[in-house]
Amino acid sequence: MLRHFLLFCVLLGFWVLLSGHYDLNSGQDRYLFGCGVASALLTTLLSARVGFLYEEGRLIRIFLRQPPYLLWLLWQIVLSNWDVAKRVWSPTLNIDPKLVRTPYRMKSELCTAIFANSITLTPGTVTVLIDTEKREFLVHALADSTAAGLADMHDRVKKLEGED
Amino acid sequence: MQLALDIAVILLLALGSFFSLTCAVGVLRFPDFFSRLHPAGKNDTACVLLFGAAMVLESLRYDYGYLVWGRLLLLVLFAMFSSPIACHAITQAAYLDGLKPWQKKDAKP
Repeated sequence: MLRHFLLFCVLLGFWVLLSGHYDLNSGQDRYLFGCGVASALLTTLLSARVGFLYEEGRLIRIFLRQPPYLLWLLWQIVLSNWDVAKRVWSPTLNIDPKLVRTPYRMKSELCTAIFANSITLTPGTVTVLIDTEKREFLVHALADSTAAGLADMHDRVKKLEGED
Repeated sequence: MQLALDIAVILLLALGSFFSLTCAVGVLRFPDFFSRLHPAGKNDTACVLLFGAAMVLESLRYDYGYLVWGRLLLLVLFAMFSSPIACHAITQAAYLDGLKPWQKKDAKP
């Protein structure tokens, strides 16, 4: 129930941010805000019926742990963007592309997706293939050094998920 | 204060343009499909981040309120989530189609 309420709040917040109609003293805004509440409610009900609020693990906990990870990820993006920019502008084109396999041990699909996205987001590495049987990612790395940080990133995403 | 804001905005825009240019040059210089996606799919993210930050600062100067910078932040956030997924989808399609990545030993001496 808490999850439904949170989803409703997030959707309504999103609606308010995009529309800007929340001045409850004017009649038009009252009507539009009512429409916003109705559509957020409808979306919440529909997604509850489809059932994707139940499939993921401890969503709320994962989201609460998100901000420090995001800050770290931003810093990584800056560092590795600089690295790739140096490679692009270097006269010898200092690259040695490799396909690397890296294992993942997340339990929830959400954290697996966060890890795969983070790998792709940091320049120098792209997730090519997800092998769900061996629980491995196939990663295309621009050079050996860009692939070196993958294990550390895996541990950080694993920490988002928590032990239990 | 105004001057500091001006300088920050100009710096962010210049840095963003630099990464945008890097991305274009990278696409031209890199040897094969897979390595070209690195600058194309991701230096791009840095570019959007920097431009977004510049626009947020610029919007603070006028009295637009949180509706404008909130939307800008959302825009950057969505770009950050969707561009890696698109990049992954393209590489996966190319890999499954049997395209072999370029390796250093393939380079002409």
